[in-house]
Amino acid sequence: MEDKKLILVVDDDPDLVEAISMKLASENYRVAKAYDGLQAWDKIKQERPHLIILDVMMPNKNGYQVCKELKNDPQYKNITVVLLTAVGEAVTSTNYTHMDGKTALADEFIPKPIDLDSLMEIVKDYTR
Amino acid sequence: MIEKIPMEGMKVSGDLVLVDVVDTALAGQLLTGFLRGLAENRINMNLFIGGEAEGRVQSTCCVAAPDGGRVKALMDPIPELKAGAEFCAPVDLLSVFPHRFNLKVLGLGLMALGRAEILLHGFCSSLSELTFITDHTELDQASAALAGCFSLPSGQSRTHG
Repeated sequence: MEDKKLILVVDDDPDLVEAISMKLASENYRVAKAYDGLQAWDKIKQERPHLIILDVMMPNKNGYQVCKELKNDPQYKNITVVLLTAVGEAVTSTNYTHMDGKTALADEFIPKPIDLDSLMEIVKDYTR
Repeated sequence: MIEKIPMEGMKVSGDLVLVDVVDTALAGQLLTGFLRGLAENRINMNLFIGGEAEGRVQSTCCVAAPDGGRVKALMDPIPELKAGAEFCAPVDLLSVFPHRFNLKVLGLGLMALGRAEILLHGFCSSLSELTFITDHTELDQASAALAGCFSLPSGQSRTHG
């Protein structure tokens, strides 16, 4: 049981969280779920995941903020962060910018809509 | 005393226009054209429910209130489509998640809304969410009714999506 790596999935779209979680479970990962940035931090502290799949545009605390805080915290900075971003399409209509993404220090960026197989390849690469 | 079912959250998408379209044309051609029009005009749907019965294709979709006029304008040149369309506003989508494919979640939700005499325009489920379409004027009562039968994480009783 403990050999299974724990992945935290964070997105304010519960359907997407469920879809990614089902795929991860089928690949033999344990999964924790959160639906905004504050819930994400709670789960990070409680469960200490091996990797976080993190949406950018979320209520309460966005993915860039969570990632930046995590990567600047010596206790958690080694946790891999894969950012899911639709910013490329939404950048003209939101306050999110590509510069925020670059300074967030994420390990990987995946554009939305996501390809689940590509996401799984990245997860496998970082959890070997 | 009904035991509350633990849920991970409740989400509200507010200030929407509900558009019901009944398409009696063969194979739902009118509806197909309507959906193409929405896509070409980049009008986002917060929700779409479609079904077919007795040769009629029926759909319900919700768009943001500012897009309501654009949707009407799309229908204006097509009398058959316009004749089968009904608009209702403002409505909200109230979703609880995850439903875990548990019918008891649906039953409790419907009972709670019924007891509170909340007008329900429709409901549907997706992979994780159970969504109720309610009048915007009854949002607070509907939220309170659902919060009465589902236990939600503290401080996370309602997030806007």
